[in-house]
Amino acid sequence: MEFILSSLLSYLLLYKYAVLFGVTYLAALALPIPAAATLIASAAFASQGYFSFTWVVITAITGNIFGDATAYWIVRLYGYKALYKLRWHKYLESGTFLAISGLFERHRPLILFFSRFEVIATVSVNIISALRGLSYPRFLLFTGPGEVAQVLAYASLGYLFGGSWQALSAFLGNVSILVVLLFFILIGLFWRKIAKRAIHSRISVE
Amino acid sequence: MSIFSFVKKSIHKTLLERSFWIGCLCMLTVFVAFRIVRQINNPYRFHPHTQVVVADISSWMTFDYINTAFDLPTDYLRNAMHINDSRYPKIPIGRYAQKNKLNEDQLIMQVQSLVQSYKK
Repeated sequence: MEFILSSLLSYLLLYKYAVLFGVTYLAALALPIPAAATLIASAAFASQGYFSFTWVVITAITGNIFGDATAYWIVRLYGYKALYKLRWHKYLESGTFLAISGLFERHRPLILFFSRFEVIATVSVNIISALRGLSYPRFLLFTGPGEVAQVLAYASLGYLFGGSWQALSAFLGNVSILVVLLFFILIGLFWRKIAKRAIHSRISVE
Repeated sequence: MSIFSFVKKSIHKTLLERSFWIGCLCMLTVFVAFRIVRQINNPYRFHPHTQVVVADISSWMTFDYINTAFDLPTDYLRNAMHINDSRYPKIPIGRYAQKNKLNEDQLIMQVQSLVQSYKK
């Protein structure tokens, strides 16, 4: 990851906003690219007068929203076909997927908004939204503000900690991993309760 | 029925599996938490300041970025280092070193000392 980031930073300094757009766009498509670190670095370069903060924010938001839209439409148009071809469609009828879908239906606005702050959550929620047939305007209604909030939060931190952005990026990366781990531990501990409540709420919705 | 098969049957398989994974996740969580604490306790690496320092100069930085970040005249490094590359200043230090078969670390140190001497 360190090598990828170093190469990316060189290209970022050379081709500026085009690279920032490309990185944020591709990261939303589940490609393992350090998008958060690139965004923080861009904001840090803005604090040193090499980039424009406004353009960093606009480019990152645009890249994220376009990336989300591409991921959403790919899954929406080809998701079911691909799952049937790979014979993975049985997972869509599994108790786990039904429970997750129920949970998603129940807290949809919150999940769509806050999932933007973590790349694994972003990709997973994009896939579930498209598979569940959520309309794109509704999807955008909550993910759009989420993307704006996420980009502003990371970019502001990068701008504020300009000189030590690398340490900040590593710190935020670790915090993000910690949050994901704690989330999975909580799910593991309270799985039965969550599944029961989710399936129950799904039945009541239908 | 042997004791082993009795134990195997009596223990709920999913519960055992779940406990194993939760245990692994807990260990990972503790490891990551330690790293976070260590990062917070390192005041040199992690404090709010906007300016880049000379020690931060790295191979991925372009001459153009170094000129802007340290407020250097555009041709200062070109003249001091006798750079003839047409892509200057839009070329990263690492790539310049590679292209001209120079030692990357020595080149970075040279840039650092030139920036330092300009600042004085």
